[in-house]
Amino acid sequence: MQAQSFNAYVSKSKVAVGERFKLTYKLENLPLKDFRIAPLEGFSIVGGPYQSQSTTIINGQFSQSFEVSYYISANKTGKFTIQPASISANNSIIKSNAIEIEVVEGNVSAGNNTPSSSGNMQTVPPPTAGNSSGNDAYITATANRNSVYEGEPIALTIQLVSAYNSVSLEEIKYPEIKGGWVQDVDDAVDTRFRQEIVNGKRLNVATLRKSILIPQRSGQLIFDPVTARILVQKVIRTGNIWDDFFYGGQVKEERLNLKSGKITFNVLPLPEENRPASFTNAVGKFTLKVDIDKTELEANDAATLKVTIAGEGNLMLIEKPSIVFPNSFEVYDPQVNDKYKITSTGVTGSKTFEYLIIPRNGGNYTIGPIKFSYFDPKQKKYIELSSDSIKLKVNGTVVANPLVSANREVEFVGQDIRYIDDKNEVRTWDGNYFFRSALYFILTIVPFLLIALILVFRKKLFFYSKNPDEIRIKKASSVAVKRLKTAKKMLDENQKDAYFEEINKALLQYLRDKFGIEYAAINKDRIQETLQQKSIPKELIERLLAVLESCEMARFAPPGNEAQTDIYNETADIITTIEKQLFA
Amino acid sequence: MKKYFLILTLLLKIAIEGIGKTISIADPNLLYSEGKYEEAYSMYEKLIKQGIVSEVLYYNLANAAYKTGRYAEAVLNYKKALRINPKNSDARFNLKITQQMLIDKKTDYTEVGLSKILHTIRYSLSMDGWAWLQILWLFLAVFSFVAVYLVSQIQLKKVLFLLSFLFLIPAGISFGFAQWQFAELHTPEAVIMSSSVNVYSEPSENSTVLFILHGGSSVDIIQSKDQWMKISFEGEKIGWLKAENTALVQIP
Repeated sequence: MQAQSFNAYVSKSKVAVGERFKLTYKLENLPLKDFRIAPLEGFSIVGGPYQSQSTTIINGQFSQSFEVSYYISANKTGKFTIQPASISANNSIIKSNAIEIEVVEGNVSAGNNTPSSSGNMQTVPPPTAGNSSGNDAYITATANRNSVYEGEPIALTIQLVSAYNSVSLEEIKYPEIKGGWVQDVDDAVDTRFRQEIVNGKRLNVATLRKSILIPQRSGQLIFDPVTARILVQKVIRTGNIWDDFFYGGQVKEERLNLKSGKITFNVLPLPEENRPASFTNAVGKFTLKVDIDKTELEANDAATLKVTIAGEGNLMLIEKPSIVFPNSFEVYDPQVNDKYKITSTGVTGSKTFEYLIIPRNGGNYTIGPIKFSYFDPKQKKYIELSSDSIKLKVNGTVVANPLVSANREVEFVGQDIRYIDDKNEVRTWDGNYFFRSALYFILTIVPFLLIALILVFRKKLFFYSKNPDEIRIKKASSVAVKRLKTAKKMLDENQKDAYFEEINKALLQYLRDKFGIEYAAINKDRIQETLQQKSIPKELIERLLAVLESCEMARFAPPGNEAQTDIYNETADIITTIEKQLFA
Repeated sequence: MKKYFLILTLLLKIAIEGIGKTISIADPNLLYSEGKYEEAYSMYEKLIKQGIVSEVLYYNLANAAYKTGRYAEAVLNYKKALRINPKNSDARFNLKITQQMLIDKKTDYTEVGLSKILHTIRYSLSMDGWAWLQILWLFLAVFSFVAVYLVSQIQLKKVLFLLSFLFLIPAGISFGFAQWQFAELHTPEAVIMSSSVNVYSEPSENSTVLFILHGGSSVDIIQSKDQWMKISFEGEKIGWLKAENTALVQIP
């Protein structure tokens, strides 16, 4: 049976912050399948994984081993545990051992590594800042200017300067920049060493990185030091002539930790005064071009409006210009195309905003003039550019819309059913409709019946005979009643003469209207004769005549109050009775 | 006089509200408002099963059915609510939303041109609303006819006489709209309750399957025969399906 094992070990269990050491996993007679390491907390992997494999046959015994190794470095001090790694074998997961590592401050150097520069800070005054260890090798960060306006590009160059002939860069860390926007130049940087004379010394200089930094906030912008670790081969003159002659001295490898100086930029705010309304963060020097693909189109067809801003400056940070389109245009958010090149001097190129516009109504429209403004840091002022206005002819129906407003149609953004009827008391339905119910039929028929009835009985219902006599006959009793009422009023007011006068008149008028006896022709005989013809009872005629006589008498005779009321009642009774007789 | 007034108010009340008793649906409404649609649904349904007929109840049940994904139930109950009150615009709107969730697409012809205008006018009043409006116009015609005999001016007589006939026109139109709604209410209609139903060319399962309808689709019933119904979908797609897969849009 072969011995199987899965172990982890490190080259050192006590390390310094930033120091590099080796972490190795060794598998004996286990397949390297699904190998996974746990996240390394407090460490970062700087190299690896490197794999190696060995097979041995001892006394016919076959054994195989794998090694997976990483170079890692600690990030901070303290005690850390490297959690076990895992592989899968025979359908199960096998874990390695965990390792404790103690990380301490300072330099716990290993092997022949010289302590690197920690103290000994030598800051080269800006714009170049450097830090070196004995000036034999150092890293520099250079900016082309120190004081800039917000949005004005700064060119940054990181260089490695070395007095050694053989240098290899093991690790480099660039700082994160807060409040700025960084992008490397597009042209590939030549990272090979070139010989340059620096301060009278012949040194090897390699440019590691060239980038453009655009500050986005005013105030102080700090570019933190760049840190790097390099491996150099030092030639030590040993005094041994042999060595010195052939190799130029004894060669010794050494690791150096390098750190550049930090650069502080003074970022000036863009002036508030005279800032145009069309300013959209552009800083530099630009030109403006506005194109439209067609100047005449049908309603509901699409046109493309192109706004191109070209020049030098913070192109990537320019926002879309605000354009006021006619109200009936449907305008989509512009498609933005950046075409720029980052060089060591800055950013040049163009930015295009393509607006898709769809006019919904016919008519002649004008767009613009479109305005664009930028801040020129050289002239230290804002410059506003303005395009020509664009005339657009849209064929199609013209919908009158004299009011130009920014109102927009309210559109549904979601869809759902409407809420329940939240009445708590509901009336149950009786199942009856009014339409086609009995009541409905009655109410529908009644109007037609009424019209029919009116047509049939219109003569009886409505008087509009031309014969005034007929009208008089009809109205006779009501006129008499009216007169009697007046008479009653006179009686109440104790106007005796007027009272009898009214009663008399009431009767006489009644007789005239009803029976056609003219005032002039009134006398007892005539009345008697006419009424008898109408078959009024004799007794009634007697009463009538009696009343008339009383009236005559009363007008000339002294007062006899007691009779007055009787006469009134008598008259009313006579008229009523005659009416009854006539219609009987 | 007082007696007539009382009768008149009563008639108006009936015309507006209809006769019927009131019931409380506060509990399921509360559940619905709290988002407990499933519980609200079963409570509404219980009330319906007790034989309570109410436009609001059908509408709310349909809403709860929609919220719990029972789209066929929702369609059926919105349609029932609309049978009682074709003017219920909320039910009509929700029905449209629900129909968008269905598998079978039904073209809505009420969306365009003249038919949209007619549709809008038709449902601006209920069937009974149109009926009452018709009565009103008829009485106006009678009044102006009577007035012909009451006024003495010849010119005015002529105008009133003409008016009494002119009033018959809106009366006729009102009657038309009422009749239209009446016809719609009495069109036998059914909603597919199974998830999918074969529609055959003959009332037999051995005949050709013409098309397949899915749950929630509504069909007009042309004829019923034993367990089979002759239906039309969208007017022109006609065939036979088994009645057991459907529910009638019918108010008890």
